[in-house]
Amino acid sequence: MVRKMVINNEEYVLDAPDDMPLLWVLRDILELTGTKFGCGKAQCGACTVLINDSPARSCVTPLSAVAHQEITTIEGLANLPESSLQYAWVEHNVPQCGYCQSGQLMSAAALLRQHPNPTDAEIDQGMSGNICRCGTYPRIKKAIKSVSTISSDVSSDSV
Amino acid sequence: MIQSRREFLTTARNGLLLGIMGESVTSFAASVDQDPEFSPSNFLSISPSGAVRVFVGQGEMGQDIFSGLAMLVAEELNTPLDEVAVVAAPVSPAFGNSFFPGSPQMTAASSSIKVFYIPYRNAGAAARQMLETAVSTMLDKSVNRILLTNGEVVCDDNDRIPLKLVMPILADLPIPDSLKLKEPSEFQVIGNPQRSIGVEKKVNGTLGYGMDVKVPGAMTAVVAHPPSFGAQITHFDSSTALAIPGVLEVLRIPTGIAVIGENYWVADSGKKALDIDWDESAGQNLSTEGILETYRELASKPGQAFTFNPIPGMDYQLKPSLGPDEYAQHNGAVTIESEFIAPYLAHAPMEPLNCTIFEKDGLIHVHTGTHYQFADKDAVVKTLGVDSSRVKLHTLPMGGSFGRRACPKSDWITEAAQIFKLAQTARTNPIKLVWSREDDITGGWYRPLVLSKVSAALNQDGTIGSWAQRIVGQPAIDHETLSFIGPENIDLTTVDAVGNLVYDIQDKVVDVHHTENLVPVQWMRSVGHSHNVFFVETFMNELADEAGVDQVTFRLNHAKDDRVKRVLQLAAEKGQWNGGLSSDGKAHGVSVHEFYGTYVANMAEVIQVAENKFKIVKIVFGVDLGTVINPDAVRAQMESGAVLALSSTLYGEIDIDRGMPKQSNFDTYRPLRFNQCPDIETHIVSSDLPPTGAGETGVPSVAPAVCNAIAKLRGEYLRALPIAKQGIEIV
Repeated sequence: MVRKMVINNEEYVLDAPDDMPLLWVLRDILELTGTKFGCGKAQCGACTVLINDSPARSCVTPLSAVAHQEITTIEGLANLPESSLQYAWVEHNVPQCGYCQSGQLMSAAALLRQHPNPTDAEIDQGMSGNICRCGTYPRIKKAIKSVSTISSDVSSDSV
Repeated sequence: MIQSRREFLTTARNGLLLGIMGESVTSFAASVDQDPEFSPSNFLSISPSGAVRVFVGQGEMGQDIFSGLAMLVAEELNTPLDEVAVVAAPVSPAFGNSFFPGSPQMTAASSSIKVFYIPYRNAGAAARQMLETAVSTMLDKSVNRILLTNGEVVCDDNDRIPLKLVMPILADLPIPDSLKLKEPSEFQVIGNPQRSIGVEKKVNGTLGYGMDVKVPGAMTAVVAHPPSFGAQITHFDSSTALAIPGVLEVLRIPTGIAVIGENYWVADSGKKALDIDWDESAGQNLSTEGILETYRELASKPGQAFTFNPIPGMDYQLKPSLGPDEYAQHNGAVTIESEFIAPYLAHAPMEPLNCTIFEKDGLIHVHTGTHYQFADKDAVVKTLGVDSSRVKLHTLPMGGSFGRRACPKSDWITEAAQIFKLAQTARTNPIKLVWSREDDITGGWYRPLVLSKVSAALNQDGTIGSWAQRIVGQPAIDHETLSFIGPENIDLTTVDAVGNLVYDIQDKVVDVHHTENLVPVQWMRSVGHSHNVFFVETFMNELADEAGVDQVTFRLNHAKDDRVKRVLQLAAEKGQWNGGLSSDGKAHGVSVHEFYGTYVANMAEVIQVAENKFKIVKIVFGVDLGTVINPDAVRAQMESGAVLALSSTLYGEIDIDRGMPKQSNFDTYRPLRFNQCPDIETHIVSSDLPPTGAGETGVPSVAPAVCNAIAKLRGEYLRALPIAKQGIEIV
């Protein structure tokens, strides 16, 4: 069916069936290929996007489930406050092959929305659904911590 | 007159040039400058506006070879690294890798830096010397030092000349006969940590992997592969699949049934709707259990003895030996014997395999992430029966590989070529073949399943008198494709780290049983080291314990050279080696090995959380790679090797039953998760020796170090992987 969608604050009109997973709508219809296909069954997190404020695995999210929701993909992260994560990722030289990093960043963004200054346990919990076969976990942890430290510095300054 | 690059290359007369680029390049990072360029080498071109492009034939899969080679050029050219772009080179003998017989264009064995360290520096040095000559002519004075930046040549930190004005003079200059490379003391780029070139594209989703290829009109192809190894199609019905809107074509190809649709989801829905009858009789008796039974039987009989030294740089040579039993009889030594097992492993790179293929203006374009371009292009040429000049392979950045994207038979690329050849849709539309995760994990081309029997004679003074090791498994290398086989018919990689033990043991016997079955296998990151270092280093602990000697000291006592000793001492010192188990319950395990000239030692720290439940606290590497180009890339590769190896150590196994892999996705083929990841430290030995590789070297030492630490807490050696299968849990 023909429908309107708002992704990264932009309106798209598209024709796709209700049960088509959001991942393939993004990638194959809208050509927003920053969101990655890794497993197809919500096991690896490479396809993570934000639906409203929550992380979602777009490979198992049917289009019908996201009607009228606010969707943010990696292409829209730069416009969010959590874009500081992208700078931290570069600063810590996090990516290796880079394929999983869109999903890692979107999970990290969701984590920071829920816990602006996450504890180690909260970082573990927020990030354990995302696989990185290249092994960038230690750098991801450092990058997230550097961002949360900055935000806490900023908030304490402004008090 | 300024010549185009091609003219420049064809008229150049220096031995620096390895060949002529027969094809235009695929832009990876840089916009292509249309003006004639200055190109003193196949590896480098500089546009009149000062855009420096470095051409790299090696595949980029996250090991950061693009940055490494760009650093070498930037160093010698005297240009800021952030003004250098890296471009994936075409398939050409000019980019062959001389580490391998026949110099195929391929990225493997952590050989890139070793092979290309001097050639890429030469390219930068040639350009710098020619620029110096040109500006000296222009200024009519001797210029000793230039800097190329922002499209200008800065001469002796003083005069600035726009490069545009220098270009006409450069075009008439010969390429220097002798090149003066910098002394290590003059290095400004080499040895300093550098951020990965193109990292920004990896954090904003814009880096184009094979999966992201956008070609107008492309249709997605998926393939229903055999459910078990050797299964054959007896009948299939495509009517239900073809009834799905958007499914365009269903066709039989040699590897299964291909379904072509308007997008992946539609094509995959079509694949699921196929009705296929398979004859699975071929694999009915194929199981891990059965294979191991056969391997055990073989391990009780002498195999093909290994004594040769076939490839320069792979220093394998054994002397005639007695073997442990006879040695023990003569010398009053005791003998010990153990059996070790390492399972089939799937590489499971995060980006599933894919390949886009189409014809345009008489050329057949193939877009894929690969690091064995030489074989892949050939596979397309042979599958299609066309002249090589008609096939243009575009090497794309890879979403991981771990060896999978260098398949000896180019399996997925050959499959794409078959679809291109047979499908009606391919006559009008580009075809994008996309594998599912299940295709990847169940599809074979695994790291071989290997069983090894090791025995040794231990002298009364605590030294090893004799070592015998028998290795049973399929050869990881297809010798029709890459002649890596010695006169004794043994795959060299099967004896990796055993043929060339890092221990000086005079009496040594190594033999091999090569086996065959329906499971296709190939190399995986660190190849034979991935299993053999686990076997050797676990056995070394058994011997040290039997001798009653500290496990680090025991290794130092047998180390073949100072580099082995230095990395071991470094890891032990930085990891605060406690002898194995401290009173506060910290268990330590050590290991050491050499990977084609790179020396790595490891100290793992593990604590027990509950019965059979452990936490890996830290992994400490000591590494000697000679001259280090990019220390941050080395650290990243050690972290990477550790995490990949921990996945394999804990969970990694493809278990086969009735010819069918039991694992199919990340729920059953489990990787290490974020919360399980230990701290990883890398300590690098400072050295001026020629550089060796990093990419694969972090893998082999991890399983034995971790298992040796766990063994201290459990009181029994771990001789088989993965350890989760033995009831061990890691939190």
